Amino acid sequence: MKNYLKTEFSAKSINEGLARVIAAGFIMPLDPTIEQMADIKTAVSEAVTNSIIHGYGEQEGNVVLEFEIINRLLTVKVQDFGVGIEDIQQAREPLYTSKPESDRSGMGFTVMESFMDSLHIISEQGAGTTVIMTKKL
Amino acid sequence: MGMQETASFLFITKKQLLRQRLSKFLSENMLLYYCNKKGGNNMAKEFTTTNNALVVHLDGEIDQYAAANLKSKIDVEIEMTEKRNLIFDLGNVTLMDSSGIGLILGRYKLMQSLGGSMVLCNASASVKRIIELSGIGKVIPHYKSRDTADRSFIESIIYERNEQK
Repeated sequence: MKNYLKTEFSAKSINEGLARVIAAGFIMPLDPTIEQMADIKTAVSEAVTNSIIHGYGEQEGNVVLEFEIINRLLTVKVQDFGVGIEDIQQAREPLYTSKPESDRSGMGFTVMESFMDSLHIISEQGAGTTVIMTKKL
Repeated sequence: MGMQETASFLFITKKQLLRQRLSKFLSENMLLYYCNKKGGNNMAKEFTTTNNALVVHLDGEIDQYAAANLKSKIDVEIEMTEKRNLIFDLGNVTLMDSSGIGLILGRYKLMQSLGGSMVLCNASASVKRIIELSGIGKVIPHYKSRDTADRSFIESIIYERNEQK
């Protein structure tokens, strides 16, 4: 089976729920387990939240969300055109957060890494960040 | 005021009175419903108390949007309560991401600074996974029911007393 979906929405917190619903709807035909469904929804939530909170912050912009499925291998791509990540290595460390004052747990990338099979981060300062995750269903 | 209006004001029927009460009830409750909606949560009761603690009932999907709205609400409630302890009842939480972990961690630090403690209860399997993954499970205990969570506060006091002896 091969399927693809691309969607773009405003970088607003209220759209995090929408992103999860889109993810759930896209993988539904593959009959995922409850656990797989929760894992994917949570990972998407993390990536989209990062784009909104860290990528854009107070700025306005759009988040591009793409899904592709080829033979039960799901690829999720979350892209923003915000500030970018200064040090990807540091950002991936568990408990590291660039915003310790605002109740951030610093677990975003760790959650994505644990709940998906692979995590790839491409970022350029001032140009934006793209997160690519895969998971076999 | 005209004669007729005075009369109608004085001789208000029972039916009219009931209707007034009903509309007052509805407007108050609609406001409550709207406030809850605005907070991103549709829960009927967000806060209750037990013998030893203030209970925060979380509901639905706890993401950055929900957490940001809940944060100040919970902090106000913590400030107003006379209880020293806090229970987060996660029974109705269907999904939680790291923003939810941040919300819990922030309230834990607040309770510590106030000399109180905090526990969690009723988390589903998927919510428990993220709690364990984040490591907060090591510092904030989780209980299977609200009752055992509530009793844990007494037990910790007894334990402290025994330690002092």
